[in-house]
Amino acid sequence: MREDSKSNRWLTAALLAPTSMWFLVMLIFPLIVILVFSFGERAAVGGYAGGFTLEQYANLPSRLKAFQNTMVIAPAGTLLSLLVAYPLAYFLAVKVSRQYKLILLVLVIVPFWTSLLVRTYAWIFILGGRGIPTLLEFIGIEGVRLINTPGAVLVGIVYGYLPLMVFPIFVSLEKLDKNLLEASSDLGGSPFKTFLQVTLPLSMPGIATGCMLVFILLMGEFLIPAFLGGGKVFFIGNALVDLFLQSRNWPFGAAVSVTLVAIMLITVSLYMRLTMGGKTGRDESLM
Amino acid sequence: MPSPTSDSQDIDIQFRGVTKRFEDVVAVDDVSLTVERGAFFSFLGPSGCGKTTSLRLIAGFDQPSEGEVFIGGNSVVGIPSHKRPVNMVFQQYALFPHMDVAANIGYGLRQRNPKPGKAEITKRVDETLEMVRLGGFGKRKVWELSGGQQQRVALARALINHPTCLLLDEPLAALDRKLRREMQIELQTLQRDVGITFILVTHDQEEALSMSDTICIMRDGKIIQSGSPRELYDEPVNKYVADFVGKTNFFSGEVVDSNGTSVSVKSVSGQVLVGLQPKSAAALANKSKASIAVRPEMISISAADEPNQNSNVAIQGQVMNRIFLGEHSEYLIATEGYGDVLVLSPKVIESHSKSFAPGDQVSISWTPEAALVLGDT
Repeated sequence: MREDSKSNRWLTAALLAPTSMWFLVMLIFPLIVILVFSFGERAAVGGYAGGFTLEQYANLPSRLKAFQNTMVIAPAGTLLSLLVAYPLAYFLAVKVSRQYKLILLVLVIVPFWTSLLVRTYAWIFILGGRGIPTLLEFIGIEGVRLINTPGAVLVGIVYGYLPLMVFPIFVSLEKLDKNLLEASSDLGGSPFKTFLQVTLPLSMPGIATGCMLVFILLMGEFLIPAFLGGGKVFFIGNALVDLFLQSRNWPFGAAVSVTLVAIMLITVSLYMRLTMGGKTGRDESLM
Repeated sequence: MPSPTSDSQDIDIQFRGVTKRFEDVVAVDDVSLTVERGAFFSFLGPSGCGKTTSLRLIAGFDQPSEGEVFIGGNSVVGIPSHKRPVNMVFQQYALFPHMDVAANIGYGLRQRNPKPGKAEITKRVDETLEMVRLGGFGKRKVWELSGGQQQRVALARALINHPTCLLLDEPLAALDRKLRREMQIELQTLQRDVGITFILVTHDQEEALSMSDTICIMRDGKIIQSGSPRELYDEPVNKYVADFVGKTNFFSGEVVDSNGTSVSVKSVSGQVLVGLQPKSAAALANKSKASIAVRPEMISISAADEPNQNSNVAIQGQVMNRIFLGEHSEYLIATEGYGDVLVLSPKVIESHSKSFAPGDQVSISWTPEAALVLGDT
């Protein structure tokens, strides 16, 4: 083992200091504040008044709909993004020749050059009364309503989060040894069997990473449901905006936040145990 | 779709006018060949000569641009690799990293339709592991194994399917020298035991010479010469083959006379050297460039002042270096007009006459039968 000299320790401290400070001030401290607030009471004029009560947590069922929506639409959106992203990532990593690969990869990122806000706003018009439903009327399908439905929110999610899913899967497929696919074929595996037995298992790290990224971000999403779900399909994120900014019930908002964080911690740790647990030691996951 | 090939039942793999182009590059250029059932056949040549592409055409990873490939008498043009009765050992083994050794070896059996029972697969995997001397390794991770062990797993994974033909793509290139030698012997023994056709691709002439029944030497997508190791060594058709197979000394010059069996070549230093015309090579025209090729072990050395009386050649030189190799001594002799000449002198002869030291003036000679006249291309 290398000698841990004093200057070396200083260097380590210096390198870690900025992130540590950032985490402490921007993450740990606010979390503590939220936790304390969640046991307090709403002041008469709104905001926070000190105290210790479990009243806020007892009141959680009043926001059950937001929790239900988030817990159903976030996983569904993750799954849908995966189903759309995988073929695209596969195409980019395996089928496209080297010279076009870079161009196509850049095209995947191009939408990021415009704010998600603007792009989601555009979807309001596409899915709204004068968008696709009007087009459908032309071919005789009437009375279709798209905007302000869970479907509209899912469309917005897949659209906004696709690149986050595509890239990790692309990376894991790209580093997949193509000889393994030939080996499988050589041993009698049809293309479909080869995909199930070789390609899919070896791209699991990418799938796991992509799903984790999208799922965690979706749990806190509020922009897409606010725009495309109207007041009908709302997430916990929308409930929080309402509680903190409109009704100024900070302690209850804090309790909802703490619950959201708890749900996320439990889901993610279960998920990690499921996908990473008992795997090979050489698993080169991106996480 | 079966279509008849030659009358012989003993032909396993056949190429008929096979050409493979990749965009502008011609990787395999109008190649026709046959590989007999149960033979140990090698494609030998430098990288880019078309040997690996030839193997991939048999495996079905590539399809010929022109011509036909036959396996066991049936044309396999258009048939994908997973429907061909051949198996391959890949250069970097291509073992599945997410499966243990037993799962890797049983992979081919699991793709069958109908799939054999679990017990049947386990039994055959165990038998095959024993065959490659890896009994008890079934539960190991493939990346825990050494290079030689991975090599054996790759062999077992292919052989368990009883292919009509086993394809080996530079299988020993990743192993160290000592292990490579061991595996060469093991492969030969294995081939004799299982009795199926082995087709090896290698750039290592020693490997090809020591293992194969037939060697096919390729260059620029074409077959230069095909034959037994002995034929290639004793009767190379041209300078390229002679240079590729074993060590050879070349004395270049211009053809001045040819009577069909022996050819006279006027060397660059004005001396006329005589050599045999190889039976399988095309006759050389007068004035064409040619080389007299003499194997190092065919040259004898004598002191400069007492040249060999039995020979009509005598080339003067000075000993530059002598390497003692046990039963042989290897001399490097600087000659006038011909550059450095390599001579391999057996110990038996050395003990009779005197041996030479660096700096000694010597005369080298050979009998006319020991020299071949080869075209430069």
